[in-house]
Amino acid sequence: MEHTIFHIDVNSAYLSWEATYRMSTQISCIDLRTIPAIIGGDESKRHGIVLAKSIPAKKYGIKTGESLFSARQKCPSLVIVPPNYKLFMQCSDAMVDIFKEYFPLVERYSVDECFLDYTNMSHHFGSPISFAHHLKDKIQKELGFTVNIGISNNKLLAKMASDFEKPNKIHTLFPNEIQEKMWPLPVRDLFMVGRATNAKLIKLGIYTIGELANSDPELLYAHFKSHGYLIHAYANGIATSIVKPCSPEAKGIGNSTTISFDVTDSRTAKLILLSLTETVCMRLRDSDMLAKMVSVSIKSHDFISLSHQMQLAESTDITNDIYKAICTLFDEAWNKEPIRHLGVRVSSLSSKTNTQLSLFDFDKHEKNTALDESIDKIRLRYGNTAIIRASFLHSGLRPLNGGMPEENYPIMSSLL
Amino acid sequence: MKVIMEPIEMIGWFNLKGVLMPLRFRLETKEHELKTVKVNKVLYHTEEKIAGNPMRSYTCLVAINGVEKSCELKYELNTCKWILFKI
Repeated sequence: MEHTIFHIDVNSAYLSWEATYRMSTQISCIDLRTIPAIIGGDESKRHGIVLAKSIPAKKYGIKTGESLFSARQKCPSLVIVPPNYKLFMQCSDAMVDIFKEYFPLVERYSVDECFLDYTNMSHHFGSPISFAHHLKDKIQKELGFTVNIGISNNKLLAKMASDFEKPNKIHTLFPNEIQEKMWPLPVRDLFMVGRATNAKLIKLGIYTIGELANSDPELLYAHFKSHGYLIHAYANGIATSIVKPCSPEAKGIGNSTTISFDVTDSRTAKLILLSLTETVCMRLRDSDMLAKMVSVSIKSHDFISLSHQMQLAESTDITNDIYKAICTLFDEAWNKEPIRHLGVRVSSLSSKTNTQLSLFDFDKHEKNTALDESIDKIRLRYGNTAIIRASFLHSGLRPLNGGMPEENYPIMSSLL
Repeated sequence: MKVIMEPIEMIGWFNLKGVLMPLRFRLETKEHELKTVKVNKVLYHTEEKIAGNPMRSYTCLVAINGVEKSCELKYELNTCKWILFKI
């Protein structure tokens, strides 16, 4: 059966949403979408990067993800607006509400992207293209911002299609159009081809998606292993994932943070690692999973990253046990260079429901589990900072670190 | 009607359907005086959700200086604030 999948992508999401909000609540204000403007992080906390850019800003060569410093150099009169995650969540929810008026299943891929399954809906709402126009216009009229819609028979092609010319356009990319529309594009534009894969492909003499599609899959396997098979299939428009309303099961849980000053002593670093571990373990317990692999990542002030991981004796979700392992890993891995960014990640997850109890430390295990449970309950009821580790008192550091400023903020995953 | 977009103080009443309706409002004029305006009639009201921000827009007949004019009032549901949008 032929499926029809839509991919909806909000044009310059953060910036458009901020612009629309300002136009509706302030008199005589400039539409941010018409001037060189960006949404940027907080420079004083060293999170200063470009999160979203307007089309005039793009003409100055400003790229999403670059530092505010270099953005200002490219355009001195640039308007920089801080992000308002509550507003973004509100706009995203309003858009998803419109989709839910027509579709029972909406896959929220990220805060500004959704997948919809239009298979067999033609007799209700008309041809896919005419309905896509209706949907795009409705969003613009009711919510005030524009989207791009990509239409195809699978999620990958639909996502690639919505990335063609912007803003406010509808594109189709069915299998018979791949050769004409997708193959001439540079290989970097293909979904799942990142910086590293792109560099390797260029070295192999593969510059366009078409060349990738026609290259020998065994050659790709030799250089990229199973990732080679994946990108070869994607270049040929073959992808089998279906539109699903819930995100795939997590393979790991991690949190990291960029620190607003360079950390030079072990005690401060371990405190920050503790705050990250608290957040990670709260999420771990919330998802009813246990972790067996623990890893710490350190980025020095000159942006050199290193990570170190170890396997625990038993799968656990106890904050203290994981923290002990993190400290060991940190002591082994740190080369005494000033630290800019720290991360904690747990993986090798297993379900909590059927676990093997250990013969050792049984009492302490029970006590610690009960302690963690009580702390979680207090935090759930009275707020995250209602109870904190004593070492954070008067430390100037946040007792719980990592994550987004808004709860349940949908983060984009790399799995389709 | 001219766009004003001035925040106002409002006294309202809730109808049987739970919709808040404007009764009387007060705003600060250019001469820094507080002026109270009575809403004679609400002609119609519509809902909007620009940028996901739910707002209710009321088109009303008010009497200013003895002259009956139509104006547009907006109510921001999330913040519970009223603005005189157009008059």
